[in-house]
Amino acid sequence: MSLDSPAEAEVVARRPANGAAYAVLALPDFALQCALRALPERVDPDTALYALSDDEDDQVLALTAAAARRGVEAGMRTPQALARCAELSFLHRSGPQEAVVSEALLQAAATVTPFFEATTPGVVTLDLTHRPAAAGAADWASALVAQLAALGLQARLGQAAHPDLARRAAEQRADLWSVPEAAQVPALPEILAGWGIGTAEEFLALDRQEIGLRLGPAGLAVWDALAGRQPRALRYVPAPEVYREISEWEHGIETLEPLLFVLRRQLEQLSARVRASWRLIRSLHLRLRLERGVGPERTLTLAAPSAEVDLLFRVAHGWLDTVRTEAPLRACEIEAEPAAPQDLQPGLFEPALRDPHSFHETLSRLAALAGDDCVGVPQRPETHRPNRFVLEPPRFFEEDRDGRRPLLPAETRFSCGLALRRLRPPVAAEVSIEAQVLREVRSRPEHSGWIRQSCGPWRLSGDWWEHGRTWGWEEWDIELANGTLLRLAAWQDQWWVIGEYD
Amino acid sequence: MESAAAKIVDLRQLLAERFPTAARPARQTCATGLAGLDETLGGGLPLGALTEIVRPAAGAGAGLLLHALVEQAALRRSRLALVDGRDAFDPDDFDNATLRALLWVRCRSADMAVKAADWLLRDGNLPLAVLDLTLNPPAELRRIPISTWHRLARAAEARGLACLALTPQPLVASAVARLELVHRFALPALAERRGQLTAALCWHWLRRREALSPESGKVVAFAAA
Repeated sequence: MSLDSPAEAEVVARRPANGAAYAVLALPDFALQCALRALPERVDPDTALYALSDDEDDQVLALTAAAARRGVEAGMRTPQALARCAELSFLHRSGPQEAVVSEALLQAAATVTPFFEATTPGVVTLDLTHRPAAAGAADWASALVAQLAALGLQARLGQAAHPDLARRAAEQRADLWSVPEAAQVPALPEILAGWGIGTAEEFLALDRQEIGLRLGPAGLAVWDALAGRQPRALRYVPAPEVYREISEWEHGIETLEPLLFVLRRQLEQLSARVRASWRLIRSLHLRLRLERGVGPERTLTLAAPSAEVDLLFRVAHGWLDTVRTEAPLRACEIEAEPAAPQDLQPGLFEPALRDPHSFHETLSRLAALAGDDCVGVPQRPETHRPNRFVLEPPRFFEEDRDGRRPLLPAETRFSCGLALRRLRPPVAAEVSIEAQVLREVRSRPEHSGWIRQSCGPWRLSGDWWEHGRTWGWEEWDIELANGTLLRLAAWQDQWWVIGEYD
Repeated sequence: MESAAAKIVDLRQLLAERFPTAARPARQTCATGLAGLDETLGGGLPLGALTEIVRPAAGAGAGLLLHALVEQAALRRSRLALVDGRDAFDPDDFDNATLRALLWVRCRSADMAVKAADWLLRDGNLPLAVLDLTLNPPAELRRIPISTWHRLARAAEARGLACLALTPQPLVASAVARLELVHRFALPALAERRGQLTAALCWHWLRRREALSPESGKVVAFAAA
């Protein structure tokens, strides 16, 4: 096989009726292209006389177009090749260059879709069925080939409904015998020659059922292989699970400003790398290393995945503002946990959070002001004990995203009486009782006075398994002379004002 | 001799007639779901503004009003932020599904509550914020500068949110509407159905800065009551 000039790098498209679901990016004569890149000066394959030789067998494996025009062929021994072209130079495979070119090929594929397979060295299969809508231009294929040409690599790209078809298009192997299944029918060439069939297209134009009747299962296998009807699952190149950036300094950092400068650069790098794989950042793990001792570290979770550098910087800065260390910093390490972009389809009639990140920051500020256990969504645990609740972090964004707003019962839990405004903690009181009737309460000024009416007691059980504590808690509803409605509680001769009714 | 307030009213009307295009558009409202309150306020709590409801004494129904707002927010699949000035809210009256509509900020002083309300209004993510200061001591409330209320009003206006302040006395200088709860419930009310109690809530106007004229939609100014 011979290498054409870079100008002839091409896109070969085979578009069946159901669209091109796969594309294959192939570097013809991958080993030769890599070996040419290892030369100190760039060479033009159209004019340079080079051939790749196999060290062990002393055979020509691949050659440039110029060498092919001089009569050299692949498979010749090197003396034979030299006899045809005395000026021919021989190259050997370059492992490091092949690794670099393979990486460049994968990175180029990643700019098109996050789902691709490293099929063989020099061949990458792209799954276009999952190509993100934001991936952009319709001429991505030409742009991709041009991108590799800028690196001195000649690439071909084939598109088809099936990965193997796309590969044959890219490698320009449209002949009938390019499928391994054809070898299972030894007499196939003679049979097809007798029918006047010479190409894969002509073969595929025949009726599949008739092929099966005449050539049997082996013939059907050839037909299916050429038509791309045999399923093949791609083995995607896994994206990194964690993206890491590390900065180390010779001299320790003692103030925040230089650290913030370094932090910003690190976040820009992380954001660019994560975006390149079509993902966002779910959380950041910051780890500071000190000159001596153990440094602080913290995981910062975002309200919603994002790759905006300003937001990431604000979140990290908010924590770093609170950090104090006993020694200067020597290194800062950031790990970003990636996440797929989330499609949020808010309901038409249900308000969703406008800015989840801003809400997350506001919650952090409220927690810093009132306390971590003083901000949240109250939820009652499975207990009949009064005044029992937990405050959960709001999940408004997740509920909006997943459409998980709960259905509501028709009636609320209590449908009688006024609302109780609890005093936390309850306020101690003294109560005068005459003939088992509450007469006066003395507590805070607004909770003191003669008792006009009272209802009770209602006894609540404590821990029934503890002797002497069962049914010991008494509650009373009272109305003072000034009209104030209170709930009192008594426990072992001690009275409290539990709350006001309002 | 005309009072200063009456003169201001006349001046505003004159300006509205002479420069009709400069009149502010009708203020949008956020329905609370409480028929009586929405009707009194002309559709609901005004968006982009502060509303104040004064509870002059215990038993007037401020807690009932607050509970009804939480229920209605859940029924309407909306959300509500409650800045609780004295950590007095009782979740026992609700089931967990209803409580999921509520963000509860448990404060211990009026100063803390006002700061929290300021941040929530500037955040702008929740459509309605209720600032409950009914149980805070008068000494704490007197220390809140008037400029703070104006700042809250500007924050609500910038974000187009509704903010309701429940206070024990007239306090919010920048409120576009100020109502006072006038009913006083007695002990037998504890045995009545809550729906009836909520329907029995009544209030009168203490102040209304602006209202819509139903015929022309022009802004009509009112004097203080």
